[in-house]
Amino acid sequence: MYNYLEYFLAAFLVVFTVILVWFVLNIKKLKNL
Amino acid sequence: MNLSLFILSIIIMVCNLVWIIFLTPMVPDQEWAQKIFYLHVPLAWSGFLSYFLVMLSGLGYLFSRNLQYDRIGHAAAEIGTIFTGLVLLTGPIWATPIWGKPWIWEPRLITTLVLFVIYAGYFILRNVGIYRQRVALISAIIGIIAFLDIPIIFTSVNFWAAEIQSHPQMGMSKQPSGILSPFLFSLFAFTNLMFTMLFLKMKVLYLEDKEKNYV
Repeated sequence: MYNYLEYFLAAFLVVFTVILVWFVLNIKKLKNL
Repeated sequence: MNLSLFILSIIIMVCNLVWIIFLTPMVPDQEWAQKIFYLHVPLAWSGFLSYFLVMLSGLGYLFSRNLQYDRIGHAAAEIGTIFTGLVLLTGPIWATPIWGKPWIWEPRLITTLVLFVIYAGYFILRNVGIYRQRVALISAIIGIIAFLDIPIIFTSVNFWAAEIQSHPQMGMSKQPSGILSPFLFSLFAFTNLMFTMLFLKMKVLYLEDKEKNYV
């Protein structure tokens, strides 16, 4: 039976990549200020 | 930002992901696609909570004209918009296998998209280059007005025709057992993440204002 694992992985990667990039950008900004 | 809060958020989120991936039950017919729900709904909740903070800080700014409220509103608006954007991405990822198409023009989806577009406008306005206090005043007003869309999102399923509704409207009490606890924990984890991001962003905005001599 088809288990749709790739859809979960896609959602997971999208959510945590965006949040991680946001943290990296803001911590960089914080260090430069 | 408080480093211990940051580390605590990471630990909570890792526990949340382990629970979601390894310990939640598979729902028949949806299997892994259903687990997107543990990310999608808490993101929506935390995003709306952020927008609520934008509205409160907007009121705070209107009454006090203190830029601290504007910084809270700005930080909360940014996080709310990121979370709402992620809701608008994870929704279609779930809908593609389950509905057979990523997007349908259904009330809750449209009203959420409208909310996202209003805040896209909010950020364009913040960057047009008018002076600081004027930006804060206009942003406060937009933040208060934009929040009115959130009750519309929640009630949209009731006041639009039932035949165009395709959102799952099942109450949490009717969900299969084993889903409620991880769902509530995920709500907590994302709310905690939202506050961690909020404190970090407020610190960045404070230092930016300080550099420009607004503080």
